[in-house]
Amino acid sequence: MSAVETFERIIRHQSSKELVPFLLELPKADVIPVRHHTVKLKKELEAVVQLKANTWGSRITQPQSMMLFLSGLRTFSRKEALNNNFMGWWADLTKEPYFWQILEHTRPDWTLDWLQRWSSGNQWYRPSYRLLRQLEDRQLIPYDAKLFSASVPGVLSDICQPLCEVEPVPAQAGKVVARELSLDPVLLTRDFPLVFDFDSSIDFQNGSVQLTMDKKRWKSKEPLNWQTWEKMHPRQLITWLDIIGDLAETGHLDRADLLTRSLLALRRDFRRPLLTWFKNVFLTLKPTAAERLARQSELVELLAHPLPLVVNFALDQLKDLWAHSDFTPAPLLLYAEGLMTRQDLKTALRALLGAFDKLLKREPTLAPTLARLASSGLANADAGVQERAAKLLAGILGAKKPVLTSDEATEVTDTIGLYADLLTAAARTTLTPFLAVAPAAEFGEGGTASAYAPLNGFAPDISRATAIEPVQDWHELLFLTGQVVQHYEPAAVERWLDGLLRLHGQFPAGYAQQLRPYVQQALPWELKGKTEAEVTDILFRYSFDNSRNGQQQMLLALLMSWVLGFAQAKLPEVVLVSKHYNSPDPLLHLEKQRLTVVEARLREAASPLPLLSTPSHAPHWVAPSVLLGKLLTYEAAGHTPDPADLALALARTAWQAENDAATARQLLPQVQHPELSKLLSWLLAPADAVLPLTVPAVAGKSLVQVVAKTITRLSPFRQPAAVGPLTEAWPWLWAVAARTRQPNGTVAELRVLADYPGLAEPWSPGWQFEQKSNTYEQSWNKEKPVVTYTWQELCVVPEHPGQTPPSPLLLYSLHARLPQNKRSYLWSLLPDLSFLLTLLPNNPAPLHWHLVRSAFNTDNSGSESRDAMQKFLHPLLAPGPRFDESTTLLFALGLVHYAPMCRALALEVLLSSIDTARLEPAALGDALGQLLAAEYAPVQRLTDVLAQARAISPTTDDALRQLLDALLPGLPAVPLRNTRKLIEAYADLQGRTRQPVPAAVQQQLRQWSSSATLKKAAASLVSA
Amino acid sequence: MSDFAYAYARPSALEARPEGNALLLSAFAEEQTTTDSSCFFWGRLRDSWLAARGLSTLAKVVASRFVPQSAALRDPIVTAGAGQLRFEAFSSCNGVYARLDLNSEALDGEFLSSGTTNVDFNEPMVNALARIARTEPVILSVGEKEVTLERAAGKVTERKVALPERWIKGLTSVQAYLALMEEKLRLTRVQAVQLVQSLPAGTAKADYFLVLRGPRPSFAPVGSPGAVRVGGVHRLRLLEGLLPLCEAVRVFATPDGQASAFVLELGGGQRFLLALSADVWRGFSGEGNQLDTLMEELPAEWVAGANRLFQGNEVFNPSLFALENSLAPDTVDRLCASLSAMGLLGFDLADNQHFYRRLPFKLGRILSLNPRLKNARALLEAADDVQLVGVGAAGCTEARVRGTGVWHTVLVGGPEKPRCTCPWFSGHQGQRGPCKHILAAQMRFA
Repeated sequence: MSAVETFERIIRHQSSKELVPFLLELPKADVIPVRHHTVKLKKELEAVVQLKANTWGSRITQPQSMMLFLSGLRTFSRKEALNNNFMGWWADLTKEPYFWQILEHTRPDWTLDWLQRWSSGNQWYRPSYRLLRQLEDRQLIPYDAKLFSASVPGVLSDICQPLCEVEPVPAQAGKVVARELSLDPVLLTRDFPLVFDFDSSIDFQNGSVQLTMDKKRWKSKEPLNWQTWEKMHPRQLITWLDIIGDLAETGHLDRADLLTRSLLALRRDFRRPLLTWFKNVFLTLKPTAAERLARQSELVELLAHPLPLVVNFALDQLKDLWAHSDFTPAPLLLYAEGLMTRQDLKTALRALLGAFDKLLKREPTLAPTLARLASSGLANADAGVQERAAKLLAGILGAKKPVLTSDEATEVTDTIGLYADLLTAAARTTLTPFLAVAPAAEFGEGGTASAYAPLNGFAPDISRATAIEPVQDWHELLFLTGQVVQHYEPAAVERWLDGLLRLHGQFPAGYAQQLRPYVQQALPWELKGKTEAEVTDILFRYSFDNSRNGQQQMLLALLMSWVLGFAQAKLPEVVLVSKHYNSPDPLLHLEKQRLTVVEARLREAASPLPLLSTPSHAPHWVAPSVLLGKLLTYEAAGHTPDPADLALALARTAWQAENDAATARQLLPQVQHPELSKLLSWLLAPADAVLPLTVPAVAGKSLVQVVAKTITRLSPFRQPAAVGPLTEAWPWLWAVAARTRQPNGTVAELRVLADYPGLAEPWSPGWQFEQKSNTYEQSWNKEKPVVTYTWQELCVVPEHPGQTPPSPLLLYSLHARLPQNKRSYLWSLLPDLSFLLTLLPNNPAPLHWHLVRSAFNTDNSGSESRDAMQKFLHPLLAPGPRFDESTTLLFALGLVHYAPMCRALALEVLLSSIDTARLEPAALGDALGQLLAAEYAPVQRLTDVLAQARAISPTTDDALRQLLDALLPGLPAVPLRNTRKLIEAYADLQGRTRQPVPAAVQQQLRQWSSSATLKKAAASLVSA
Repeated sequence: MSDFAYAYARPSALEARPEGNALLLSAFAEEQTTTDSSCFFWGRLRDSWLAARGLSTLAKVVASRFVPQSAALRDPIVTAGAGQLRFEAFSSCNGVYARLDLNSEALDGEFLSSGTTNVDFNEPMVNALARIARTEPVILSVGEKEVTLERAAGKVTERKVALPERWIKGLTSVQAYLALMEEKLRLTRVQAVQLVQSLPAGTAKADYFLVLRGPRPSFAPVGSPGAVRVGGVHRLRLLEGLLPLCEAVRVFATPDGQASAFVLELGGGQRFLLALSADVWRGFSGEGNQLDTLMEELPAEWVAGANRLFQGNEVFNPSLFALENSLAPDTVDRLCASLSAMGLLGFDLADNQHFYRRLPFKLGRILSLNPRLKNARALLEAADDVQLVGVGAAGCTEARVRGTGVWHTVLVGGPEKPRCTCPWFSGHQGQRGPCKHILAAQMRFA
């Protein structure tokens, strides 16, 4: 039998007793084969396999593990030994005679490296300190400071473990452990101090003493479980901090050395918890003032640390030493130079500036240095720091007996003047005597600021500058497909759809091959490594059933259809139904209809007609003349427009662009279809010549029949109806045209169609706050067994859920009475929101109200609300009509949104809407007032935004003043937190705009004057 | 990536001497100096306090990282030459590049040799920098002036660190970006302080744009005409300590907004530059902005000749250089790109000129440090991986290039920018340099 066979037999069927003699006598020539076989057997036995039904595990036994470990020690080279899998953590090796026997015999040259790797591999299973000491004593390894330091923290639990086995456990186990440790001078003098030099786990490795749970020891009648055991035998937690305190008290550890070492360790860039532990070591020892004075240079050195934790600690230790005669201020002042410009320190800087006050009293000669440092403090953004710095400067500059030379004083005053614009109100007041007088008016000519007035009418820019370039050739279409697949940007999608239709006859032969990379990008997992035939098969069989279907899936279906040469219509496979709290937005049904039309035309015609709803001008307008041109082409080709496409085209028509509308009106006589001609004549009529609206009867049906059919459609259980043919769609297209042109007016002529929001009357819901609460019991908390949370919920009212609109074409009514829970629409709304917002440029209010109730019913509605807000705010940056009520409310929600990014974006919208005169300041102020009064969001968020918008231009200031004029009276008489900041911002704006304070604001300010915190701020405005 | 062992004769230190403090920066150069001296500069810092602030900020940059990865502390490199000392460093993530320039106005001493070296920035030395007082005289030594016998006997401070092939790649991209940059804004000292205060709280996940609103600099989340795109704006907090000390800040950006740079005019001949990549997750080392120019291989002797010439000149303006030597501007661009791909060139925004770094002249680095270029050449080596489909109007060439499991359509030549159907191009639209498919098609057909 060969050595390898013998070895395998021993491992499989025998024990260490037989293995050890075998290994000790192993000839040199057999070492390598046995080594290889050790690795092989280890792999085989440790592999996780099914042991029995529903049970998985490895087949190795503990004796086998030990045997393979011993074999490794004997035969492994450095390469195998330093493998991750070779460790001895599962046994106390110090008590294994075979381990020592093999190791003494083999003495591998990799022992130290092996232990180092083991030690660094897992912080919970490091080689024990006792093991290392024995290895060192037997001269199996040299002393290695880092290795030993890493094992020191585990000593505590090693000592605690035997104490848990003997009944009764010591009452004061900590003292017993400390006594045990004190018996090992090598540990205390050589190895323990290493924890201050290396990153060890001493901050979280503690010990505990508790009698080990055992049935035999259980004498109570209560059932035995860990809770009852814990009650009977309470656990004693023993921390290194307690032990260090005890050992320092008994003199086994040098207290002075510990204090110095902990300060030196705090200088390092260790982990934050470890730095906290060093800080706690210092605090545990409760150093006296004399001891801290003796270490003032070490403490001052800590001021250079990047972590505020350490700097704050150092200043805390120094704060009662400032006035001491033995304290040397020079090093502190050197470090202070670097601290004053740090924006992450607030508490520390306030403490430091307080210290400067004391130092100044002790040593007036330090005044020039302290004044310079305090001047630097003025640049800090924190109001408290600025206020302290200002007080110090005012004290120095206003001292009865001058402490600065005139040159020094001038330099300091100049510096203050430099920072004047950065000062908070309080700091500015303190330093007023030293600031140069500001010019009478900062903006505007002749000292008067420009007044802000909102826009009266809006006409989209329909010109060559905003015209959207159609896709020119195949290559442009090909690479645009990449952009659509990767970025899914609405404008690119519209161009792509248009390009697909326009260039249909120009696709090169084998174009599907060129599209393949994009299909692969869209379906990376499904198509990875697939052959051509497999890809085609997958695309044919691809199912959209499991997706949250939206526009992206519809575009993917169209791409697939394209790649397959339009052999199979894929769009109908994309099903839009409500499931699992996910209801598709009703506008998506129209988009699906529109894309289905695209797919059908591409399948049927060599030169398909373009979509009517494709935007012709940026951002998403359809120019009236372009619409007319396309309709004439349709008529020339004998083609009837698709109702969904026509409805979306009407909604996007820039009817207010007077010049282009006039051009379109000239083409109207050429339109053959009488109903279309009539409808467009009404929509594109000049502003001063609006025609009467005439709702037609559908061909072959009376108006009564239409209404009767409509009533049956109002059932809440109906699925959205399919878009019918054009002949049936005219009444609804008239309704769309009417609401496109008159978003807010009453159109009595539509009353005969149905009594539904968005028809005769616009859907203009209100909004209010409802207090909601949630109560739960916590029986374990005796002091507070019941907890009730209350919050304000923003509700859009009234709600009439579950009435399907009379026609899916009614774009402005679809969101009014949705059948599902309002939150269930958010998931599908989010990915498509940017696109949906492009559909209704003339009347976005219905979509906005839907967004308010779906995403913003509470302040912190999660990341969905944040993403929705960003998508809503972006389009508002462009010129457009004056904000209506729904837009203003959403915008107000953005200004006080919990996400800083949304507030930053809302600030941009605020500034741009003032520039483009879209903002309605009074309405916004009113909405914000209601939001703040209901404590939907804190005042601070708004004041932060206002601070960034101040003093940009006279018009901006005036618009903000108007906003606050409306906002302040809406706030409660009992002031909210940070109302003072709001009043200060208002005072600042009043100072710039020099407008009278309205009576309503005066009254509110008078009420607030009774509050101590607001008295000063409000008084100046009331008297003005 | 190869590991590179620094062997410093002793650690850098700030030593107290009777004549004042001495900041002794221990150096280790990959390329040997031209003179026997191992010391590059020895002399007095005219404003030691300010220089110490600059060096501390540089140390902060080196220690910083903005993506979840372990910090590997590198040592800055110093280039001495043309009467200037330039300390350069990258953050661990390679997305931030910082440089402290000390010119003759800031230094009162002797340049003993020209060259580029790593200097040891150890923790005690960096801590000691914070202790330098405003009026304290400080001697600066880069390298050791006295080569003594003690050195042989003394302990060599050796640290094993993964070097800087990434840095060399980063240096290549940074200089290419810097050379393209235009000045967008100039801020006063107070505006600089306002800049710090207007930094958005927390970690910025989206782009911000620096604009002037009235007199105030602000960071807006949307772009506008004249605004400077600053990706990962929180990285600017590295400058918090230095901005309030500067006389003015000049803000530069590339025309396509792919990188921005803040030049702090500290006064007294000191200048601090901080360049930021387009996004936090984009290290300068991964940018391919030089690939277009590197595509066409120049004869090795040309590159070697240019290396010798620039080495002598130390600083030069490429346009003037082209005029003076009757060379076509694009030839000079390609020469600069080739040298820069070995990390040999840097760019000085304030003076609008290149400067030379004396690093080893290794032509092999051009390919090894540009994997996209290497992969493009590999595509060309295969018989049919790059195929011509046709030549269209205005010289626009369509090619088929083999990708992973698919063939990509590539369009090169003609008036429009090259395009490809691969995910890299679809995702970045050419903003991070061309993909390997475009490079291969360009090398074969353009």
